[in-house]
Amino acid sequence: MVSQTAASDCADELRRLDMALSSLDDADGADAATRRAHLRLSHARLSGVLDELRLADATVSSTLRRFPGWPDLHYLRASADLDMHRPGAALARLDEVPGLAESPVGLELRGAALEQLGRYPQAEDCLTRALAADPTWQAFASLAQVRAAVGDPHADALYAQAEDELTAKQMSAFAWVRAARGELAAASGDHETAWAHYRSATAAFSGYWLIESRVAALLRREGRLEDAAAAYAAVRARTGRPDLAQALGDVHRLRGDDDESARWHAVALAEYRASVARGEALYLHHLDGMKDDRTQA
Amino acid sequence: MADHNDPNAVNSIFSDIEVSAADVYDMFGFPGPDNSKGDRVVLALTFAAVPDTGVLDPDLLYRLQLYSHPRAAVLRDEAHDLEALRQYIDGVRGTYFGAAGAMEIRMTVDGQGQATISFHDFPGGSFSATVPVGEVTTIPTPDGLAIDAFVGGRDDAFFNDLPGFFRSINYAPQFYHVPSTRPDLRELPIPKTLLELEGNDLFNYNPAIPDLGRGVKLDLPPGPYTWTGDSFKKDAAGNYRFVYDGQDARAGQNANAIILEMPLQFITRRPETDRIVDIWGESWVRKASNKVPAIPNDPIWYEHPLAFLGSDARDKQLEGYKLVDTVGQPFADAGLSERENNRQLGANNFWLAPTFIKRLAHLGWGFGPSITALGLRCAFDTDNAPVPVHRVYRTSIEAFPRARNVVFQQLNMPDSSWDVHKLGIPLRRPFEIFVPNVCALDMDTTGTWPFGRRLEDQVANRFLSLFLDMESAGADGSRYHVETLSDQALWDAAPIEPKTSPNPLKNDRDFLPHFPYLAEPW
Repeated sequence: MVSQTAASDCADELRRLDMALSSLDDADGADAATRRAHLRLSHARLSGVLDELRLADATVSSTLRRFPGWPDLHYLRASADLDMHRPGAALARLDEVPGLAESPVGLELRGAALEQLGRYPQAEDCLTRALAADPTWQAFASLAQVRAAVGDPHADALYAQAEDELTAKQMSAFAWVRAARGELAAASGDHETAWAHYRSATAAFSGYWLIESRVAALLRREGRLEDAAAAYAAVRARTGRPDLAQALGDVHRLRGDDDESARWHAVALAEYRASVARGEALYLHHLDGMKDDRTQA
Repeated sequence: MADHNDPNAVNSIFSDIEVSAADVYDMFGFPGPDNSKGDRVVLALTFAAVPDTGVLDPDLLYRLQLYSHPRAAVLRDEAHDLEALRQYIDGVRGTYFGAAGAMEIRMTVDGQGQATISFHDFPGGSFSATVPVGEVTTIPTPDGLAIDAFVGGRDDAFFNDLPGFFRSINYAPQFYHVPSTRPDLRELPIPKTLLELEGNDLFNYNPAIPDLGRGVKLDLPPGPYTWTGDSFKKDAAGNYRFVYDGQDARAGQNANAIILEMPLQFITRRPETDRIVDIWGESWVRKASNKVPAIPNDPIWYEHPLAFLGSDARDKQLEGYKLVDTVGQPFADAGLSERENNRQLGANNFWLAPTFIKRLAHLGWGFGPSITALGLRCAFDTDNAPVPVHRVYRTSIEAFPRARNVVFQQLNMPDSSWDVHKLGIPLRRPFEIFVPNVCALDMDTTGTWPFGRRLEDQVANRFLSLFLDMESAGADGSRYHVETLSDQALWDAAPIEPKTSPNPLKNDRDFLPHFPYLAEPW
C-alpha cells in the first residue's frame, strides 16, 4: 500500500514511531519486545494501513508466545483484539492475568470490548468504575461511544471531557476524539458542527486517515459526490481498507456510474471474503451487509 | 525540592514514558547574599531539560506561587498528639486552601528563544516581561524595584544517590522493567532498609551487574516479591552492606531552570514583619484543545451554561493547561506521597497529613532497625526490632504512637550559624515542614534547610535524619542534628561498608557566588 509520504502531523508522528522502533533494534527481553509490539500497533493505528495492522496483530501474538508471563503483553493482546474486532477474545485475555480485568486499564478495555459486543449496560458499568478509579481520556471516550450507541443526546459532553484530559503532547488522540464528535454531529444531522469538528481535528493533527474517511462520509451525506469519491479514493489508496472500497462503490452508484460502482464493489467483496478466509472477524458484518444488498438488488 | 521522576505520569523510570519537561525537580529558596539595599529573595525552580538543555518546551507553563507572612509563634507546652496535629492543620488550612493571598509568577516560552515571565498580584501590581532564554536579565517592576531573572539551562543542582534511595525502599522500576499493568509491583512488599537484607537478591548489590539501577535495567524476574529473611547482610569482617554508595546519580546531568532574585519588599509591604516567604512550584502542560483554534458555538458551552457564570474570576490562561507536577519540600512527593498523580496538590496538601503519618511509620519500621543496628538512637519506636519489618497501617491513629517523635521532634541544627541575627528562632518540626508542602524560607536565617533550601544543602541526608532521635543526648551529651548523617567520622566508626555518607556532600560543579547561582550546564 502507499505509505504516508506527504508532509503532515501524522507523517511526522509515524516517522517518530519508526525512529523509536529503530532504537530498540538491539534490545531484548520482555519489556523491549513489548515496546516494539506496542510501537508497531500504534504505527498501524495511525497509518490506517490494513496490512500493517495485520502484521502488528501477528507481532503481538508472537511476542506473547515468547513472553507468556509478561502481563503487559496480555493487555496489548486484548487491545489488538479490539482493533481486529475480536471482543470475546479480548475479554478472555483480560481474565488470564490475575487482577488485570479489575484494574482501571483493564476495566476500560473490558468496557470497550463489551461495547463492541453490544452489551451496553455492562460496558457502562465497567467504564464508570474505570473512571472512578482513574479518569482517563480513553475511559471518557469509550463511555461516550456507549452512550452514543444507545442514543444518549449527551454523549458529546463525555467526548468533551475526554478532550479536556488530553494535553498538547497527545494531539493524535485529540484528533481521534474530535473526529468522533464530528461523526456524532453528522449522524444527528448537524453538519455545520460536524464540519467544525473535522476542521479542528485536521488542524490538530493533519494527515490522519480516520478524519479523512469521516470527511468523505460527510461529503457523501451532503450529496457532494465528486468530492466524496475523490476523498474516499485518496484514503483507500493509502490504507487499502475494503470498507472504503465499498464506500467508493456506493458513491459511484449514486453518481450514476454503474461500471465504477460495480468495479469497486467487486474489489470490496473479494477483500471481505479474503479477510474472512483468513479467519478475521474485521469484515464479517460488512460481508453480510453486501450479500444482503446484492440479494435485495 | 528533590522531586525527580515524579509524579508517575511523567516518571521516565517507566520505560514507556518519555522524559518530560513537566517533571519539576527542585524548589530552592534562600536569602540573596547582598542585602545592602534590603533583603533579597532567591527562587530557583529546576525541571527536566526537555527538549534540550537551554531549550524549553513551548507547551509548558511553569508557575511559582509565593505567600509571605510573619513567623508563627510556637507553643512550648503543646501536646504531641493527633489532636494537636489536627489543630495545626486546621489553623494553616485557612491560609493556603485556595491559595488565598498567594502571588504568582508564570513562565512560558515562545519557541524562538524568548520567555515571558508574568507577575500576578504582587503588592506593586501585576505585570509581565519578555526575556531572552539563556541570559541574565534585569526586570524593572512598576514600583521602581528590580528583579534579576534567568531562564535556561544549568547544571542540575541536585546531588544525590538516587539508586541508593530506591534500593532503600525496594522500588523496582529503578532496577527492573516493571509491567505498566502492575502498579502494585513498584514499591515491592519488602521491608524498607538502610542496610542490605540477607537474601534480598532483587535489590542487594550484585557485583556481576554493578550498574543495575544506574542505567542498566533487567526485566522484573518472576516472584515472589517478599522477603522472608531474618537478618541484615554482613560481610566476612562483620560489616553491614550500605544500600547507599554516596555516588552522585545526577553528576554530569543538566536541568532547565527559572531563577529569580527579587527584593523582599517586592513580595510584601511589611518586610520587617513578614519574614517568612513560602514558595512552591508547578508545571502545567497545554491542553490539546488549547492548541487548536477555538470552535464557535461549541455544544459544550450550551450544555453547561453555568460555566459562564463567574467567568470574571476564572483564570483564562490556566484553563488552557493541565496541572502535572508540583514541588515544595524535598521528598514530599517522591518519598511521602509515593508519586501518586492525584497527590500533586502543591501547598494544599492538608488532606495528605494522615497519609504522611502512615507513610512515616511505614518508613520508620524499615529505617529504624537499620539505625539502631548501627548503634544510633532512633526517633521511631520499633520495640527494638532487630531487623526491618514491612508494616502497612490502615489508619493514622494506629500509626501515630510509633511515629509520634518523628512527627513532633524539633530538628536540631549543627550549630547556630543558620540563625543569622541570633533571634532564637524556633527549630522546625517535621509536621510543619511537610504540611503545607512549601519551601518555607525564613529571611532571618541563612535559608538552609529546613528554613528554606540553599543549593549546597544535602537535603537527602537531612531527610533521613528525621528518623534520628534528636531529643535525647548521647553519653557525651551531644545530640543528633540534621547534618549528623553527613559526618564522615560517624561512618568511619560504623560497622558498615562502604564507609560513606549516604549521599554525596557536594554538587558535581561548584555553585556560583553570584546570580544565577546554579552552575553552567555541561
